[in-house]
Amino acid sequence: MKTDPLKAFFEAGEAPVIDQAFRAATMQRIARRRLQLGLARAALAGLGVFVALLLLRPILVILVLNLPATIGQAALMLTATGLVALAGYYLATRTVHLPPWVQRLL
Amino acid sequence: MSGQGTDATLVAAARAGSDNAFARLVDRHQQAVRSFLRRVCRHEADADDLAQETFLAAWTSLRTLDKPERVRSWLFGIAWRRAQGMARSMSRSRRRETDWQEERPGHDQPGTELNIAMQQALAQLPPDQRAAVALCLAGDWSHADAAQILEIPLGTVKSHVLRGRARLVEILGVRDDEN
Repeated sequence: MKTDPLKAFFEAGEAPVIDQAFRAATMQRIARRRLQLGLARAALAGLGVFVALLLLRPILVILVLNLPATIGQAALMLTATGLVALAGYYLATRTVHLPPWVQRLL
Repeated sequence: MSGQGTDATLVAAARAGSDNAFARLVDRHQQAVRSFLRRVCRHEADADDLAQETFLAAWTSLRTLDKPERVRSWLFGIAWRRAQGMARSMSRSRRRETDWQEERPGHDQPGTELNIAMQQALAQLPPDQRAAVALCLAGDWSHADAAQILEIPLGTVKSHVLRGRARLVEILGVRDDEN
């Protein structure tokens, strides 16, 4: 049986079969990339919401002014609290199961 | 293999967001990808850095993979394009994320004589020829697969492998019984 004379040379340059450090470093890079992508998407979504609110401002102002003062304030506070709570929960756990169309927006 | 899932299963799980599945893909293919890149690049640290970039690029574009069962050749294609890109921009920053290597046991051990001799011999081959040799002689790829990975005609691969082999045998001074 013939053996390839180059085989031993090639085998000497093989990377290790198992390399936990390589795996950890690779997954760390992936985690970093995911964070960057997440931040970029969150920033875009934030910008989108800001622009939308800016565009809807005249309508929102009319709505708020036409509501009885107490209900208007309560609605605003509830909306703001809900948004802050949702954003905080998302940032803390990243496990909020939003509907697919909302996920696509984010 | 079935106990840990096939490549296609792992790709599907990774696409669904499983880091564990992607880590298993890394485990499964890192040796082949790194060995290939070590033969193509001149420096081991560059090769390992490129291998990490390859997996990162794969993670980013996992959804574009048409045939999940052929994930290895897809990874090799990414690795080869990255290696070419690096060769084209040799002036790129030398600052690399190699801290992890310092924690590896025996990372600073010098390569074996055989490995050093082979690296020096491979360095004398043109890049395409080196890659074809790395795939078909050092790896277990067919000429057709190598042609697909390297995006060059099949005849060119065959010619590269034949000439590359003859050149390596000559440089290394080994007896070749194949001819």
